[in-house]
Amino acid sequence: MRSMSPACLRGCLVALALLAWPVQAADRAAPVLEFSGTWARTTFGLEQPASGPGPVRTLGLRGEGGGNFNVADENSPILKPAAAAAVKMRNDMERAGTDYPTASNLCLPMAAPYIFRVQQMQLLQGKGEILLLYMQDHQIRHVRLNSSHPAKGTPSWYGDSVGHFEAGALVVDTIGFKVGRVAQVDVFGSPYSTALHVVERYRLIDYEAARAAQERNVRENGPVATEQAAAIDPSYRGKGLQVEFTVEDSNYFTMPWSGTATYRRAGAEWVENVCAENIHEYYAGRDTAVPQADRPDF
Amino acid sequence: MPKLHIANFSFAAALLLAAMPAAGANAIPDLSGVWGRNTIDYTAPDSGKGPLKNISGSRTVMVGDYNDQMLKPWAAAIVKRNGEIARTGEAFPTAHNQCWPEPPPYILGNQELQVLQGKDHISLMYSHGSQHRTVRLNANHPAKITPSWYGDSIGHYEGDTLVVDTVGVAVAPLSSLDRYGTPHTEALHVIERYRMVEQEPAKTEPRATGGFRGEDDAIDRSYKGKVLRVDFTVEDPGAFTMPWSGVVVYSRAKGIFIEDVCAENIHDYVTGKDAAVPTAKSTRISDGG
Repeated sequence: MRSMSPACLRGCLVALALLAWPVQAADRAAPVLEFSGTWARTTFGLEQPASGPGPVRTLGLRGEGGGNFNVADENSPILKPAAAAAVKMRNDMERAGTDYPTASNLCLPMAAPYIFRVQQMQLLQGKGEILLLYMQDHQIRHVRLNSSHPAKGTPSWYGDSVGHFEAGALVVDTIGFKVGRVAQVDVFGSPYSTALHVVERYRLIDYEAARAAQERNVRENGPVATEQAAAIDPSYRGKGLQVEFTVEDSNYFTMPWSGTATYRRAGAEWVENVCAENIHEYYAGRDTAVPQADRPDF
Repeated sequence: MPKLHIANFSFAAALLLAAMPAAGANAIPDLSGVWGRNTIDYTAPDSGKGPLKNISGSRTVMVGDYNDQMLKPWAAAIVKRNGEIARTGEAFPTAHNQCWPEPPPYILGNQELQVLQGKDHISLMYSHGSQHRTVRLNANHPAKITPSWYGDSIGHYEGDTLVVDTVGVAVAPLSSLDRYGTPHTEALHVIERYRMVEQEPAKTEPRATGGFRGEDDAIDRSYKGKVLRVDFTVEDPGAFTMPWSGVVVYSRAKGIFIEDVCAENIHDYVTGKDAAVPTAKSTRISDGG
């Protein structure tokens, strides 16, 4: 058998190099895709950071007529007086058995990090954009990749989010929040102003670390009364997704503070969750007695 | 140095050509991006039965042609009732203005649509109320479907076209398929065909079919590339005497995806003004006492 001539070999090598070049270029340009997919959490609460000031803590669950609520620490050192007063108002209403109005129960958009209370979310990779979908009222946040905040933006419920990849993390920077009928950064009603600035870092973490973080969160914040049809895949032993976030708002907080929200792979189907028609009282485990007619009046 | 013979280059070229995918084979049409409309009407299909027409004579008064032969009597009665309400100057309740999800094809009236093409599903996101439909690619409808607001959507590519097939749309108090409140039953079956087409010579939406202006115009008027056309067909033997079709054409949207929060929206798109909702200088949450 004749062996390949050196010139022929060089030609083959050139061809192979040319074939490989677009793949390598694509790899360098390709974003981190393994964040994509559907993720779930087990509680509404935010996790305390490993160090430094963290979110307002709960002082414990209080049962009330079959339901329960977390009493918030209105003396948290991160709260300025106006914020502490808002948290106290929320505590007082809940103690009185009155449901505190929130973006969640008023079917309004939720700002980050409050939106991490939604127990199932999808992270989708688009062209030049990341989309974060939340399984409560079909909420969608848009994160423009490798972009800048506009010099003059219009404040919005979700704010203006820009992102980039950095050392294996997706970093999302959000400003430009509007202050609507309710403006809260956590389940305790800690308020925010138009100066709110949130930085989120999404990173994959090992299964054991994700499981430990979620168990710690349940111990700190208590289990949820319902899972909103969300569920973690109990058999999945791959990585979890953890977002470390930092909140700054000098109008309401004495200092920047941080926290985490840890997700694991979702084990439940993505379902419709329509706030406008939801009559279910999750804490009482029953439907509200909405008046009904046997036939339409017109 | 030995010279490279032309045969060596030919061999290398042959390797390259063999490895390149055949042109068009397995190519997925790129429909992704943010698309905008500035009207909520459907236009007539190239052939066959089209959607209901507005017989009020005014784009601001929603009176669907309740004498259209495609409507079964009970459906015609609802369209007529809605038209009578509209003629009084009132707006009849719809899923759109009551902040409920909108099934296809009604949802195609949203100002903006974002298409995200994944490996095994397509995400269709809409600007009004932050709505989201998932289209499972190359899948089948389940044998037993639980009716839902958006129904069960499956899709596949046929050449340059994404074909989406939807069944299982629940019947709700405000179910409607168009701006006239035309109803449907659980037998509803909608087929949508998405493809890129050349832009027609620039023309604004005809006033008769409505058309938002100024800051409500979602379209990038400087964009001259291909646009997204959706041909859809509606079948529902419970409500219609025959299938009917319509067309929606989107162009590239301008700016950042619109945040349109239905629960707080006070904007009247017909008049281009905000409703005079009472406002308070400061917030005061009830102290429960």
